[in-house]
Amino acid sequence: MPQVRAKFPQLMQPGLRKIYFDSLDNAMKSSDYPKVFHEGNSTRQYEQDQEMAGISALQEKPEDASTAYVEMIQGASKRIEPLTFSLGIRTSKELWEDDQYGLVKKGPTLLSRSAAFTQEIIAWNTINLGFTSAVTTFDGLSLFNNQHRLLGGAAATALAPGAAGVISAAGTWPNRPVSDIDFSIAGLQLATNMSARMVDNMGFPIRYKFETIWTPPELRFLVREILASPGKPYTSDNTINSMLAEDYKNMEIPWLNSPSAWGLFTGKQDHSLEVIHREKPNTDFDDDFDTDAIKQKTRMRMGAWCPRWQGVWGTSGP
Amino acid sequence: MGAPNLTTHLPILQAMEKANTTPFTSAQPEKASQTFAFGTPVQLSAGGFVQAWDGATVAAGILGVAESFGQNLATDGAGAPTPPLGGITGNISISTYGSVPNQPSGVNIPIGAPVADGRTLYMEPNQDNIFEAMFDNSNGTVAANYTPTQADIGVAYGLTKDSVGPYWYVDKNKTGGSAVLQIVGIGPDGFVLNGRVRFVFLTAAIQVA
Repeated sequence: MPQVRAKFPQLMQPGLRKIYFDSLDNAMKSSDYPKVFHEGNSTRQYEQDQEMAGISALQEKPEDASTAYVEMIQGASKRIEPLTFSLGIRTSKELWEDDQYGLVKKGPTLLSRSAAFTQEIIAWNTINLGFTSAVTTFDGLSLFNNQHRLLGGAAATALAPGAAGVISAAGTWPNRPVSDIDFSIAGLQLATNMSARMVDNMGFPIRYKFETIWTPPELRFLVREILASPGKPYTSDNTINSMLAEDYKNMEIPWLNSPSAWGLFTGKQDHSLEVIHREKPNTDFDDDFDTDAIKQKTRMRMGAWCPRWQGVWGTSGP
Repeated sequence: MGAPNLTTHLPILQAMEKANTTPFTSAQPEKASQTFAFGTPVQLSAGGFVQAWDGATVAAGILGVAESFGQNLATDGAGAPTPPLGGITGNISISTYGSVPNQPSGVNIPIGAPVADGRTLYMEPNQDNIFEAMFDNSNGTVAANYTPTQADIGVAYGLTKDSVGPYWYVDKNKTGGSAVLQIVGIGPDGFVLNGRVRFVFLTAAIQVA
């Protein structure tokens, strides 16, 4: 659909005092997703990762008995294919020339803004859709799940310290509560305890340091009340706020769809949230020989995923 | 009883574009269990998913010519990206093998297995797109029945699927109510036995204009 002068009559004569233009007045702030997601580049149609489990605990060996031998476990495969995203603006030469304010020439700024927005949504949809089958991990289950399957099976949970208080089925481990829970003192304590018990595929505690509480803007005030109080929130008792020692940082993410979903991230070194760039945003221009229309276009190829569930914890809230 | 001269033909290809621009390619979620080859005429199922053309529905029967092969999906549209701006879901592979210990939903993907994204890419059968396919006759008996001639230009014919191969040919035996295309030119082979011909789809046969 071309932009023509009839659609922009206000731009045809000078005299407007100010034009409030989204692209210029509300510039996108710095990107959020690189603060959390790893960023990788690809030169292929798709990338494929593989999970491998280690081995279990040593076994007691009676005097002069043989050593027991075990095998590593090959886990599942997981693929990501970066998709292509593209958008263009077509402007008549007449509008291009007659616009008295030069706004239609701001196409690249608009396209850049669109690309930035698109990148954020693609990345954070890993979280938004992480409670559904649209985003799955190596085990084929949703990113946030209360029964992630361990490659070590029931033997792994039988070995895992404290498993009985955490799991809801043998051979599984949660990174989401059985019943989703509001952001609250009780909820944060549950998340903290559950995360502290997180294990690998063989049931070994992995002792990740969960550093960040991710929340939507709607939880801003609750987060302050719970994390900024020197005493235990919502009580008159002289009890310390035990949550302060966790030293959580809060990341408020405006790209989340749910007003109530929240959770925890480890530092980047311990989770697998990743954005794959096949082609960074790339702007091109051309004009049409017959119509003289000016065409501006931005395209990119990108995907986001989280093939491994360890290192993230989440709940969809109430 | 006549028969086509060949049991397998070349796939239908989009050869030219009348406006001298890039031909229009579309993609729609694919119906489950489709195993067609690229170059196959496709149609929308009653539920709106892409499936191989049934070869019999002439009126508004053809959605386009597949640019991708059928992915044998387990369910309709399995794996297609989740809008808005969601990625491809599922295994992103046409095949898996074996099983993963203790993970019934986990899969082993053979390295290099082609991608499945739940959608069929197809070339639209609009009047600007000129396609190319081999000429044959499902009821032919002599060489002249299988050979395109100057007199075939402008004639409307049907399409028939190979008896052995997965592809389709322009069938001189299908005319009248069975016709879905019109010959607009002779292909690069010239007027030879089973030579390739160029055609456009008849407006009445196009499913989505």
